[in-house]
Amino acid sequence: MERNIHTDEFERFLRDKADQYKVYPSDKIWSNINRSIHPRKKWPYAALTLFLLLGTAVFIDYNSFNYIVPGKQPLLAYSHNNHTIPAATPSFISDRDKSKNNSIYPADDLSQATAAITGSDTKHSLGLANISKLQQETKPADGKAHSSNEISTTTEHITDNQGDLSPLNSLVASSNASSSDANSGDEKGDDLTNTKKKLWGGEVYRPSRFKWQLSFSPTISYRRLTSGIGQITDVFRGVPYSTVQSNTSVNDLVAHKPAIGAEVGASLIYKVSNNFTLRGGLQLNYSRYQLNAYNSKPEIATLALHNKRGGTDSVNFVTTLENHEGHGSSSSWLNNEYLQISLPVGFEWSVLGNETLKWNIAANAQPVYNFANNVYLLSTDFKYYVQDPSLIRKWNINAGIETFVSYDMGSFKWQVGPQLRYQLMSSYKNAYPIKEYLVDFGFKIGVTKTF
Amino acid sequence: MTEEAMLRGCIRNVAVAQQELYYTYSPRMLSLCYRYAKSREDAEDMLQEGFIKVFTQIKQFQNRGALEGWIRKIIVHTCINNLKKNKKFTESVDLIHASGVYIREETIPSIVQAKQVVECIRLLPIGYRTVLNLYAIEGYSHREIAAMLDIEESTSRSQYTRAKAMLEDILLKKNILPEHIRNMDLMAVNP
Repeated sequence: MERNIHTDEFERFLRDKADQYKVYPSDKIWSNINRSIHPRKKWPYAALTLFLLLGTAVFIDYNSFNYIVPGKQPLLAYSHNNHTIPAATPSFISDRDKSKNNSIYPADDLSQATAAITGSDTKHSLGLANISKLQQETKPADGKAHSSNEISTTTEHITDNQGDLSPLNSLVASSNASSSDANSGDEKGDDLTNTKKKLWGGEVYRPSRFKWQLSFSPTISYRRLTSGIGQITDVFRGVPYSTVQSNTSVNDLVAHKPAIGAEVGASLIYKVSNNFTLRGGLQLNYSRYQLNAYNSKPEIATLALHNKRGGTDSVNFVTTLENHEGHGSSSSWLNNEYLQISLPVGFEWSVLGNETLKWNIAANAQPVYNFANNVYLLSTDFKYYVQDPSLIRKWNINAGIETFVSYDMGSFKWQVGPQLRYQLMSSYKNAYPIKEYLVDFGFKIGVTKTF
Repeated sequence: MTEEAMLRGCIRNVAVAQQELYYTYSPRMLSLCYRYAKSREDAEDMLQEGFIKVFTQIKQFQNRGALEGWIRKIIVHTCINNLKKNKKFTESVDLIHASGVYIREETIPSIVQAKQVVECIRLLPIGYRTVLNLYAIEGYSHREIAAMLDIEESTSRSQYTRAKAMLEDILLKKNILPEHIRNMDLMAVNP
């Protein structure tokens, strides 16, 4: 690089002076560099938050799980306060369990209880449903305890029904066999947990028609601007505007590009038929796109607006943001951001697949409340950007379509697939003559749990 | 922190070492960018882009020669690439864009003179200024400059000759050029 030629005094002088001169950069430069070489990893936090939410939901669901047995009959409470079965009280049942209305006891103990009452053959498994029936039938009207003889009559009925072995009975049978030698309270406690887990996990399960769903979707948002210059300049009579041709689309007058946003939602799903479900819920959307603006010295920018009398008003703003490159100006990408909460209502339809794996399509309508925004509006002469939150519509409506593949895991169902969300009314109020329609493309990941 | 420790830290992507390196060299490098840029804001953009390249490519620094020279080379190339990208480059320096950027001026007379010299260089047309910066200050040959700027070697030479004459004229008019160089110039004109 270095020249092997004579360096004259003038060049040496320039070099010395150039080296002596130091310019200290502003602090934001280091922040930008640091952020660029050490990007914050947002996705792990987002994923962690999602899993925490899911975990909490699953925990709550597990603890409030309501057992439903074949025949659409929930298991009744085994309440020791109401009636007594001699020598049948399982020793491991805690006071807390006794007081719970939807608690359930392992089949081996129940079988032992029945054996103690009737002396009948305990080789046959005793289904929980039958025990439920037993409890109903043996419940005394006066609240007194039944004698063994009275109850033995009922157990004959149970024995008669042995043939009606549901998956639940199989579960009980296996539980019976595995724990026949184990009599300690701890082991029985484990059986209770195992049974509960198996029931909750959907191995023995009669699905409810109601389900809830949590979903997350990274999105890319963009916008479509409408209103030709001709229409706008009609509105903007008396306000100076640029000399662009009247048939030019507003989209061609601005430089904008998509940006990444996000969507999280929770839904309640009602299964109408095997292939068709209805869905409603709550959804939070962060949508944004970027527009290119140039810094300028402070200028007056005018917005011409429709008034309620059908005429035109105008408002002036001071701005330092130009739409087009000015003399010596530098450009930057500004974020136009919207934070919205919505109530999507729609349907899902299973198009193809088997019980486990399905391809579905879905559509919904979303009333939207726009509760926070950071939006730059184009001035009447298309030269400047200004901010006026009062011109942003608070209520809007969106339409959403999606297609996804779902994988059924018993009481859980996972789904992934693309989605599209389109805003049906302009982001801006009618007073502002330019119309903007937001479009969000997303990739939705959801988990559905049956009640 | 010694330069060696700083370098090791930067290679391991340690933020503290990177920050140290940045604060050590950024004032001189921003001065360099400022000589090429149309505004101070553009100079900061060039500096930012250049240092990102420095930190991402620092593993390629083979410890051959000075670290500052290596950083300087990257920053110069970043400035040149930036100039090539912005074809519509204009000469004006918009003072509005200087807001938020401050220049710490030291009170020693020679430093004041240094600032004046740099500002005089910035008065030159962009083509002249770029060739003069590369040849007289950075020490690139006309062949290298021609390759960097996608121009003929002869163009680089002629640009430099004109740039030098124009700058000398400006410096003489502003009475910045030292006495001994002024005399030398006069001798060169009238040997």
